[in-house]
Amino acid sequence: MTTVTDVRRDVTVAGTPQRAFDLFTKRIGEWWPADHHLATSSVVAMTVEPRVGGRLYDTCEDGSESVWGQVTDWDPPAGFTFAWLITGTWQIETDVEKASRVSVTFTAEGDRTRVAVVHKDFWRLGGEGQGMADAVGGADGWGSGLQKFAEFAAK
Amino acid sequence: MVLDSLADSTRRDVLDLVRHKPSSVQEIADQLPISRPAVSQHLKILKDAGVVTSHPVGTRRVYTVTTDGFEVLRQWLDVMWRDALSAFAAFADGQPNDSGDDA
Repeated sequence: MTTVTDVRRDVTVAGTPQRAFDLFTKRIGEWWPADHHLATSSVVAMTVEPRVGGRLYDTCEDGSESVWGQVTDWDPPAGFTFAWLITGTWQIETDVEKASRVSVTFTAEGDRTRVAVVHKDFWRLGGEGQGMADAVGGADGWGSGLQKFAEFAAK
Repeated sequence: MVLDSLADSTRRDVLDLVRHKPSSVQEIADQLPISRPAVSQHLKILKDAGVVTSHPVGTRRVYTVTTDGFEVLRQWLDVMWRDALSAFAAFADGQPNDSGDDA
């Protein structure tokens, strides 16, 4: 098992958890950084299907859909969790069991809301004895997502 | 350190080539519009950051991506979520107070 530290980030926004939850999930396409998409063609919309088993997907300019997440827990306005369907080699993972998890929680703090993201369960990516590090370091490692993620690093 | 090493687009191009195929400085220079010394400089920074490593093959020195690649992935996700939440906060705070409560 690869032991990797969870990624934790949080921020506070104005308003109630319900407001933040709705803005986060219903209007994700309006705030998600435009240069972070795994899809190869231009993304025109993003959708979070509001239920367990629901998909998180991009809709591309050509009408195709690119699924990158699947909801595993849905508890508005407290939070939701989804499987991050992207492998260590930046390919789409179809097996939810082999996908890392992202939990997003919304907690009232006075008249504001703390939005916290925990990206975790990276051990799932290890698969059947295949080391994550090997996968990433191998000949087919990284993949097209590297560029997209790196753009963020550049800011 | 890792992120700093990836902040330069040419350096990412270098890394991209190395991750596709273990390569020598010359092989990388042949595929990019930069000089061999420039390639060497980028590789040094990537190596210092622990992103690539090198080993001798005959008379050449071949660069490969390190097996610590997963830590690089993690750091990328860290930056991605930082930026995503920052973008979300800017968006949410810019919306009228009653928006989003129409669930």
